[in-house]
Amino acid sequence: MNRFTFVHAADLHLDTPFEGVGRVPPAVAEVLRDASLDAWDALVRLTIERGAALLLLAGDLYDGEERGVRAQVRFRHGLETLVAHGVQVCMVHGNHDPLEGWSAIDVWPPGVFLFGSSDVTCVPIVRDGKHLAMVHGISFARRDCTENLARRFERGPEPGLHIALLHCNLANDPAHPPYAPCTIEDLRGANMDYWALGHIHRRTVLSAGTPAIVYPGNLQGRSLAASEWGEKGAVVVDVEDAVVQQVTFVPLDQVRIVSVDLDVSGTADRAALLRGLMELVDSQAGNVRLVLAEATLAGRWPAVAERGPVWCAELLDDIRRQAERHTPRVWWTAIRDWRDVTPERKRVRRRDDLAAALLRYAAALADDPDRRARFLDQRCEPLLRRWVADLEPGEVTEVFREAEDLAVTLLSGAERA
Amino acid sequence: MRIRGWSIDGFGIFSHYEIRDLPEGLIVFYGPNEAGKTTLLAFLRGLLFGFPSGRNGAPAYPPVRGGPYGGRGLLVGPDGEYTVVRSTENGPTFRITRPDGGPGTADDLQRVLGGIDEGLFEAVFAFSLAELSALESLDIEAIRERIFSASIAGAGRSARMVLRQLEAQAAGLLAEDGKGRINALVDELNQLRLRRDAARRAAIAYTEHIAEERKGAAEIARLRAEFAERRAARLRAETVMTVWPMWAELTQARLDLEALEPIDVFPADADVKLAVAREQLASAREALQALRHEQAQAERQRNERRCATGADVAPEIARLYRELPTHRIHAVELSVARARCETAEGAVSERLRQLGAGWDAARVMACDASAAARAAVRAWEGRMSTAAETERRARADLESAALQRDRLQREHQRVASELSAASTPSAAVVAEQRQALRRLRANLEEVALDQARGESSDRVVKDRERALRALESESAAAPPLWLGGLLWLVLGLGALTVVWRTVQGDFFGAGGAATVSLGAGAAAFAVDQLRRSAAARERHREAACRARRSELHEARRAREAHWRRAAERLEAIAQDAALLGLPRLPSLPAVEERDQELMRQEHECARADVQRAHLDGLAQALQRAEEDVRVATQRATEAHETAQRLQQEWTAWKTEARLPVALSPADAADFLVMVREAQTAVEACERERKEIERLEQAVAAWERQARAALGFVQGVGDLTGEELIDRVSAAYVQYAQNEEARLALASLEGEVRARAQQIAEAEAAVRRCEAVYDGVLRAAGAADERDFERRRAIFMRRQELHRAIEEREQELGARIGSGAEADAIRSVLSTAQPDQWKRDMEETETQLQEIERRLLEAVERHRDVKQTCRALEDSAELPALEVEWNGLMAELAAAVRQWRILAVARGLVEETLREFERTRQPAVLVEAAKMFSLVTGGRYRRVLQDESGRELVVVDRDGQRKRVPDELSRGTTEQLYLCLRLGLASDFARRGTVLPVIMDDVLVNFDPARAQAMATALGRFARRHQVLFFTCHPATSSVLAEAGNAARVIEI
Repeated sequence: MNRFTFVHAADLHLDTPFEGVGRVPPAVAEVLRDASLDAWDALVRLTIERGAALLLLAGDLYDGEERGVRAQVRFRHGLETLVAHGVQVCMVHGNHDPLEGWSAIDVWPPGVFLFGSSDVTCVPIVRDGKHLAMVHGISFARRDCTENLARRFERGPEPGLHIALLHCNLANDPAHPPYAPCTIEDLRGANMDYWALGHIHRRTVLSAGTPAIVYPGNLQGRSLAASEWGEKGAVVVDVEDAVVQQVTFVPLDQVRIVSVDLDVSGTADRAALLRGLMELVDSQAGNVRLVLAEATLAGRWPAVAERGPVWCAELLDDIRRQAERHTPRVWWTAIRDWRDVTPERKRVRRRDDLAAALLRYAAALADDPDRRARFLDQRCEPLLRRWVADLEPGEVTEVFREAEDLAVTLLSGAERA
Repeated sequence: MRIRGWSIDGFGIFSHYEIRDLPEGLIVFYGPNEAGKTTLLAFLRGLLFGFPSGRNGAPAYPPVRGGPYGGRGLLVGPDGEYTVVRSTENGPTFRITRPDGGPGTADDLQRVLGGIDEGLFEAVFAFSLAELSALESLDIEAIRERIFSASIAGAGRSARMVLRQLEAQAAGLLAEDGKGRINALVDELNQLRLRRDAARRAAIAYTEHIAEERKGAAEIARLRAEFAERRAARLRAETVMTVWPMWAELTQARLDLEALEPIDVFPADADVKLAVAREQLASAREALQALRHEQAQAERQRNERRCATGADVAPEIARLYRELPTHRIHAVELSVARARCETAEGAVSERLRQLGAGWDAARVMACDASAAARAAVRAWEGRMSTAAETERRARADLESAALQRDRLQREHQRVASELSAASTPSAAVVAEQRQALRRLRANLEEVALDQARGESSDRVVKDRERALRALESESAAAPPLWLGGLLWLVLGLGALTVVWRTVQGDFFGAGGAATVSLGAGAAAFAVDQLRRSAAARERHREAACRARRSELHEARRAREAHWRRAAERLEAIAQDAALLGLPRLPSLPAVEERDQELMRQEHECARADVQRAHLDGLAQALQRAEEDVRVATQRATEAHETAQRLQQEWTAWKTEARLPVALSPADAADFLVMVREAQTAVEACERERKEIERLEQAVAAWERQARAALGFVQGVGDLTGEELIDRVSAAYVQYAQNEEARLALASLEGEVRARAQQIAEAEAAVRRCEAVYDGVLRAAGAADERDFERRRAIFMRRQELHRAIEEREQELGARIGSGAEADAIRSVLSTAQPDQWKRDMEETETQLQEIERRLLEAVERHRDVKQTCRALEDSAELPALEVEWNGLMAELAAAVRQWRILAVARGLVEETLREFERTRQPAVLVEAAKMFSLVTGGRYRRVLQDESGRELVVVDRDGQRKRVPDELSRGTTEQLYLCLRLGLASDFARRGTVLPVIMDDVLVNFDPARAQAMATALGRFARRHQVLFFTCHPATSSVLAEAGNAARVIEI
């Protein structure tokens, strides 16, 4: 009976700084700085502990052409450790990391195979003289690869498991750039047994049968975006007689990004509110070194008049102080207060005052995007373009919504809730 | 809210002055000039909003009649009575007591005042005559807003306040003075960017460092090898110099040895053996000679008998007959051997054909296909393969180096072309323009302020000119001087007439004259009083005129100063604008656009600096790459030459070995195997041929002997084969029948044979002796005894030389050992150039020192670059800076987002407010128009805003529009402004902010009719508001009391 195990990971983005976190204390910054590399070390340990014959890395090992020397050395050390334990490593490059740029690695360790970009090539996986599998793969030649690379894959006559290694956007996931777009039909057409995919950061098993089609997600979350929330890691795949038996996810992230929603209606006091938030985070923290948490509050306690940005800021300060002695360490990035302003807007619109006129004016702007764009351009957009990107259409709507809310609240003389 | 009273501890001329229980409605405060009305107005304003400061920060209106500065007021709010206390006894003090007796805060007072600020209160609710015209322009934002946007906001929070609040919050984020949060973040990012760029450059340079490290390691290895080689050369040279004497002896011995005939083997005691052999040989030869003589005689007898009996051939025939079976076997074997030979020849032909044209058996056998030759071929194959591999690696290194050089060249050209193509401005020019832009911004702001101050000054000058003209046009209506004189004359004449009529007894006439006289006197007194009063007013007017002129002069001076400063700033703006390529008076958007352009240029400058640094790095890398290419080319050439030389040597070797020239070493090995097989075939063929020859000789010998034995028989001369065999068989039968003769002959034959045996033995003995003799000579390699002696002498000499050579060799071996190094030393020694060796040794010593120095330098450089590489590999600086950068960028993004929200909110409020002002006819103006129509007796019906929304127009009963204030008289203008204030106060009241209105003699310029009408209007207004009216005119006091239905008149 021919059994073996391999590990599939993708989107390592080694040494990529976190985005959108804001200024943090030095101890937190240190953990953030090393998170991607520590996750890589954890992946190496996992691969060795599970006795895997093969490690697949499905692209975006780095975040760009400028690869950190420290990260390259760490990466190379990990590869050498794997090879020393008899693990073969197959990897492809994705849109974030073209083929060139390994200044600190002049020669790949024997047993490490980096697929080229000219055509799909095939590598046999052999352990103890026994043929286990064939790995087919191709790297991106350039960042904006829009070719359907999946159609180039074709199963060969060799026996054993056939694995396809590819960095691609399956079914045009709008949350990620449309590089190497393809469809499930394209993948099925290649007659592979396992598609080891990369590019989509949210873990997804698109097919558990034959072929198994798996996005393991990125190894370590790298921003506060929704695709980066929750557990991040790699999948361990058990194979028996050239058939995939089991695909098991193993979290390896060192910093976990968590977003919690809390209805504060039934909360007794401020302390209970903070306790409730920490309990929500603890339920999702797992065994990580640091949790980046953000919270959205809803409900009717305390009174709307008492709530607002200042209240949220004070709450954030309190919970950050409280979290300093917590294990694992939790860094709260934001606490937002959500309330439904629709009824209040309706009441304002019925009035015949400036606030009502303002809402009408804003509505007219929203109906005319060009006019709203001119308004925005005239009011604020030329400023700071050097530092901050222009607003996306969705962001424009959000900014106008918050601006309307602020203006109406101030004009109505009430404290903004 | 209303004022219930106050108590002044000390304020101006007031000391311990108290007013209590003020009612609602209109209250008139009457007092002459300098009674303190203006001071009281200032006190009430100060009580509510804080006392004003005078010059140098001292309090205005300091107490001149004692008492601590300040006082308290009683205010009646919607929820009860508040007490407000302000003093400066122990520093500025403010206290408020709430209706429940508890202490309040400023917020309580603000709430009681409906949230209005001091400026609005002074403009609408508490004003003097001079301030009445402050509404001439509607630029006071709070007033404009109140007039035009009365319904915009309520509860005291105005849209303007919202705008100010939004602006303040936005300024907290982004301020032109650079103190905003975004400014601070951008500054931090700029500073961090320098550190991050430096770290990035260091990281990018890692590639060069690592290449340098590898190159350094190779250089060190090369230098160490060179050092070892040189050191070995030095050691070799030292050894050479040491062993040179013994080598010289050795060489001489070898030369001597070579000069001698190579006789290295000579039997021991050969001379003794030779002497013995010589004597034995002589004895043997004498014995043989004797036997031969006896045998000759016996043979003569036998021959004579044989001829007689013919039996001489019988034994031969018998022998031939006995050998006949053997002969038959030989004949058969011969035919078989011939067949085998044909087969072997066929095999040889096949092998030769396989070897190719030009190959025959001789060439095959001449070719060396031994194992040694095949080993030599394999050695050639190894050497040529090594040379080819070396050449291939050298070519690969050359291609790699050339690729690296080409890549660097392309990168260098690209960066250079980018740098040359980019029209990067001078950093100094950009810095200068940045300073100019900062000055321009500041000056644009300041010039706007100066112009606003100038325009304000213009208005002040205009007001003061108008006031002065009005004051100057006033004239006291005094009765003429002559009227007084006439009346006094009438009085005098009347008195004389009374006296005269009384003297004449005409008492009726005297009474009449007295009446006339008294009337004239009274009239004259009245006229005199009127003239005195008019003179007093004229003096006051002239004093007022002087004061107004002085004020006008000051205002004009201030106006000139403002406009002069504005002109200077405009000139500075024009200079800076010219430097920046902007119009003389650029707009703010143009400045912002120029700022963006300048920021872009600064960024380009910074980027160009980075690119230039990168270009320098590339140039150095390119230089190193060129050197690498040169070295690689040299190595490739050397490797190629080595390969060529080996090929030539291989060709020569093949030619010498008689192998085809086209053969490669691998093919040659195979070919030699084939040659070896061909040789085996040829050898087999030769063996067969020899066998045939042997058999043919045996058959031919038997037949020859048979024919000889049968020679006496006719017809057997050319017989062979079976015929000859038959003849021999027949002869055997024939001669066997003569037995007696054969026995006698046999006896003789036996004797001859016995002697022949003896002779043979003697000959054998001679041969043995000769053999011993020859053996002794042969053992010595000599042809004869003379040669024996010569060779023996040579042998002895060579033995001596061999011993000497062996001794020298042993000594040499003990000194230089064996192996390649020893061979090299021997090679050097063979050149026999001791002087040259000495020079070479000195040169080698110098080279050693130089190489050692270079090696130390290379090791040091390598250690440094290695440390740099390891430091970069271990460095977490760049990731840490990236984390910090992203943190700041996230904060900046959040701050910018908040700023955008504020900017959009402000824009929404501004745009909505503007639209509101443009489209809505304010209720304030409607209210003011009603009151103005009442005051002017219906002459003016409507008050409107003009098209710009910033000025007012009035419409008279004929529908004519008149601009305010240019087309109205001063009195009418003041009436309009008063009506506007009352309308504003009513508007406040409609939304719950009811405040007392305090006026200081604002009816002075009203004619009596309009004063009365205004008093009536004030009376109506006072039904909902408390009105405190200060006046020094009794008529005004009266008309207010009567027409205005004043609730109370208080004399100050």
